[in-house]
Amino acid sequence: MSKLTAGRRNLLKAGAASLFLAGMPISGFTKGKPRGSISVIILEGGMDGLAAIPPIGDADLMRMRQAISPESYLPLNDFFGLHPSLQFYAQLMARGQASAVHATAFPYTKRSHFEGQNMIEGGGLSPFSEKTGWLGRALDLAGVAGRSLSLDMPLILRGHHNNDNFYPASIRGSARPKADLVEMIAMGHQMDAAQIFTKVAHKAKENEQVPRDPASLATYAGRAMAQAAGPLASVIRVANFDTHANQVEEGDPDAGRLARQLGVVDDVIAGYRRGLGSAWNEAIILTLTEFGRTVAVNGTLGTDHGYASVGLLAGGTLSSSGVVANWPGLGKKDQFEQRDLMATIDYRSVCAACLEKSLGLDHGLIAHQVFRQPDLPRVFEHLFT
Amino acid sequence: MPQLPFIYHYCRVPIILSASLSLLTLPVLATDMSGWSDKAVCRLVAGQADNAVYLAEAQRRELGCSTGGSGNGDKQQSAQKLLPKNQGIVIYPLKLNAQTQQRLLSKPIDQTEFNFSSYQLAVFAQPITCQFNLRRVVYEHHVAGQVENWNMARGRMILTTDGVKIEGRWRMGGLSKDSSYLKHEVNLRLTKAGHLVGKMAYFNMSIEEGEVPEKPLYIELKLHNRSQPLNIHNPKKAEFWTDVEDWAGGVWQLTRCKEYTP
Repeated sequence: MSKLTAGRRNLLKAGAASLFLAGMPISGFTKGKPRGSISVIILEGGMDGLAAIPPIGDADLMRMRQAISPESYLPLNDFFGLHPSLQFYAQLMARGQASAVHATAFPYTKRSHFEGQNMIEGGGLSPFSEKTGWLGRALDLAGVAGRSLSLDMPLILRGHHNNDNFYPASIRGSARPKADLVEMIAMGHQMDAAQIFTKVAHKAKENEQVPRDPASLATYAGRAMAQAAGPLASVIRVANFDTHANQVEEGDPDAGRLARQLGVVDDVIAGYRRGLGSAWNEAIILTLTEFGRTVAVNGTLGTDHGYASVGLLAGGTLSSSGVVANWPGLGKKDQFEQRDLMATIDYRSVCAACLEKSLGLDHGLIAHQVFRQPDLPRVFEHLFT
Repeated sequence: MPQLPFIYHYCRVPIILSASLSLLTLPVLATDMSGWSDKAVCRLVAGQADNAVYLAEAQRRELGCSTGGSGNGDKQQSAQKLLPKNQGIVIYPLKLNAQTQQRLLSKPIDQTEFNFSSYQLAVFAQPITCQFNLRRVVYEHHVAGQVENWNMARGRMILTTDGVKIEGRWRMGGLSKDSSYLKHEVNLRLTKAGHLVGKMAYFNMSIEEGEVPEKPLYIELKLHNRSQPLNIHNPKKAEFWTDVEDWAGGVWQLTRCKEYTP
C-alpha cells in the first residue's frame, strides 16, 4: 500500500485538469454533424496581451513598459509585433491561418481570478449567474451532447443533460493514472460514487498511454476530433499566466515566465495542427483569459491584474492573417481606470463568431441563448470573410 | 371545544414557523424592495430568469445593472462607458517583409513534413506489402555498428504510389505504445531505386515501466550506403539503414514482400 500516494482529494484535484473533449455526435440524437470544430485554450491567470502582441506602433508602449516588452518580436505590420515565443503561430500567420484580436475582454472589470474565470467559462452577464458554460450551451443548440475527459465537467462545457465525464486528464505527480488505485477507490465507495470511479478506472486503463503535457494532449484531442464520429469541441487549460513578478528575466525581456508560458501555448496550437491533420481546414482554435495585465510594469518586473488583453485565433477556417482591433491607445487618459488596457471589442462577439463558423449556428441565437445578450454585436466579417 | 388546545399543543411550532415565514415573504410578494441595496437588486436582475419585477425596480432606481454596475450615477456612467461597443474595428493586415515571409513559409508546419522533390519516387502498378522488423544499431563499441538482436518495432508495410502505410507497433515502452505514432506520424515514400525516404516519429530510447515517457524523435530517412534497396519489379526483401543519433541508429529488415491486394 506504500504506493498509494494519491488520495481521493488529490484525485479530485486532478479532475480540474488539462483536456476536455465534447460534442460527440450520438446516434439517434444528433441531427447532422456540423462540419467544423472548435477548440478553446484557457489561459489561466490573466495573460498579458501587450506582451504577446505588443503594439509597437504606439509610442506609449516603450515609455510605459520598456523593461518587459519583448526585444526580438516579429513585426507583423507597422503597428503590432508578435512575441518571439510564438514561433509556430508566426508560421501559421505567414500562411494566413492565424489572427489576433486586441484590446478585447469579456465585460468584467473587477480583476478577480475566481470571478473572471467563471465569467469567461459561464459566458453570463455577471459572474456566477450561469450554471452551464457558453460552449456547452452552444453544443446543446447544435444538437450534440458533450463528453468530457475529466473527472469533473468544466463549467465551459456544462450544458446538455447527456454530457458525461470519463477520465482524469492528469494526476499531479504521476506520469499516468494509476488505474489499479482508482479501482480500489471505487471499491471503497457505493452507488453513484462507485460507478464514477469504476468508469474512471476503466478509461484510465484504456488510455494509459495518453501523454499529459498540454501539447501532446492537444495532439490527442486533434486526432480524436479528426475522426468521423469524433468530438466537435475540446478545451485545454494552460495555467501560470499570473505574472506579478519576474514576467521577464532581468536584462532579457524575451525570456522569463511569460515567454515560457507563451511557448506552451504555441506548442498546444502546433499539437492541435498535428493532431487534426486535414480536419485543420475546418477547425478554429481560440484562447480565453480572464483579464489582461496593467499597462505599466510593477516593481518586480511583473504586471498586475488588468482589464483587456488579446485573443489568439488559429485554424484553417480563418481567411487571412492580421490583428483585429479598435486600438484605444496606451496614454493615461486612454487607459481603463488609468492603469489597464481599455477593452474596445467584446470578446463574447469573437466567441460567437467562432461558434457561428464551427457549429453553423445563427448569430442571433448565439447572442440570445448562449450569451444572454440579444444585442451582442456580430464581428464575423472581421474574422472569417 | 376541548380539541383546540390539544391541536394547538402539538401544532404550535409549525404554525408559528408558517406565520413567521409568511411575514418574511410578505415584502417579496408585495415587491416592496425599498430596503434592498442596489447591488442586491442588480444581482437578482442578472441571476433570475423571471426577473421582470427586479428589472422594473432597477429601472425605477435608474441602475445600470446590465453592465454589472450597481452603484451611484458616476459608477453607472463609468460602467456603461466600459462596455465594449465593437465600433470602429480595424483589421491591421499582416505585412511581413519578403525575407521573413520566405523564412516562415520554408519552415515545415508538420514535424513529419518532408520535401520529396529531390527524389525520383516509385510508381506502383500494384501496391507491395512486406513484413518488417526494426532493429537498433549501436555504435558505442564498433565503428561499423552492432545490430542488436531484438525488435524495436515490427509489423507490416504497405508501399503505394501515395506513400508508405505502416501497420504494426513499437516495442519501446512509454509513449511508443500509442499506435497512432506509426499510423499518423509517418511520411515515407519509396524511390524508384527502391530506397525508403521521408520523415517519421521514431523512438530510440526504451522506456521501462514507471519511467517518465519521452517524446519521439522526428528523424529523416535518407539514402544510406549500407541499405539494400527493394526491387519493385520483383519484390522479395530489403534492408534500410538509418542514422538517428551518434550512438545508435536503426535498420529496417523487410521480408516476405509481395504484391498487395486489399
